[in-house]
Amino acid sequence: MRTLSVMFMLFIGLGMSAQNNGIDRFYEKYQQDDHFTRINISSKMFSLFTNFDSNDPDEKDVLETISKLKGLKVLSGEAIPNAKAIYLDAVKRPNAEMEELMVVQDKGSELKFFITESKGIITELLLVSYDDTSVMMMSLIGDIDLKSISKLSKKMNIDGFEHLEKVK
Amino acid sequence: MKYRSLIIGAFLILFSFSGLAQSKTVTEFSKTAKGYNLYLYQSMIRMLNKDKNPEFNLLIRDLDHLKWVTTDSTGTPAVSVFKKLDAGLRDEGFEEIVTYDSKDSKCHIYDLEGNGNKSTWVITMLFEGVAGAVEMKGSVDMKYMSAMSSLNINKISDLLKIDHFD
Repeated sequence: MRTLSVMFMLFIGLGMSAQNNGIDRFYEKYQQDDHFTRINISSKMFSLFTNFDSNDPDEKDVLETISKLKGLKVLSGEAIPNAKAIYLDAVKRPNAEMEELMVVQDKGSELKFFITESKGIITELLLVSYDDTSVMMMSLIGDIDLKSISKLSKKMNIDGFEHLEKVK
Repeated sequence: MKYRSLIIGAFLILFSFSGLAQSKTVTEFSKTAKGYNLYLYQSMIRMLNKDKNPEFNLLIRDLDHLKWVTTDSTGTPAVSVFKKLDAGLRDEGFEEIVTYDSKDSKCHIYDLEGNGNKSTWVITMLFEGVAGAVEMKGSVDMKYMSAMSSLNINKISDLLKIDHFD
């Protein structure tokens, strides 16, 4: 499943032009830390998906969702003794313009979604989570429809995003 | 399995888009690299059409070749080669559009815009002590992109003999 997620992230590739999104300061901080995996996909990569066409309605939905994205950044750490502390630091104030959307708590793990809205459109979706000794941050930039992203992540087996189904 | 998927995925991404000129950095690298030095010309790529799908041939009709070059794994300073490849591509004006960096492997995709909608694409990789680059010359016709499903992935992995990276 992890491989699939990584492949998905590679395939939907971006340009991440915005430098002040909710993940940047951590992305830079852990740039040289081998415990962390970093993925960055540019808007150019996403724009290539506008060239694809399909007759299959499900595939069409996926392509439409992807073509509206402008960036993806992921920072994922494994075997981190202070995973919870990093998580708490990240969720304290990811970005001045972001608001908390949802929290999912479980024993030894927590997950929070944040969004940035502009004129009624979600322009950034940030997922921050920790589980025991792992921590993950994922930022999606673009014209974001939460239900479509939830459907897409379900197809691609991306952990955490299934909770977006609960957003009405 | 992780490396196999990573390599095939990156290979497919490169194959999926279009390229024109060749990178000087990759050309220089191929002169000294002692690992794989594999060229897949159009005639060979046509043989990877597992369904004999006529649209697959239309898809690749303007594709000249795919070049796959790596260092060997016997003491080659792969990390420094990888960094040199990245630096060389940036010096040539390539833009990094996808980054995947983990403790065990790295994969960067670069784009250099040419005339019109055409670009040159290069992938640099570092895994298991081996550094490598994949470059595409020519272009594919995006109208027939769905024919990509006819690409014989198993044959590609056989050609690249990448099972030992599982």
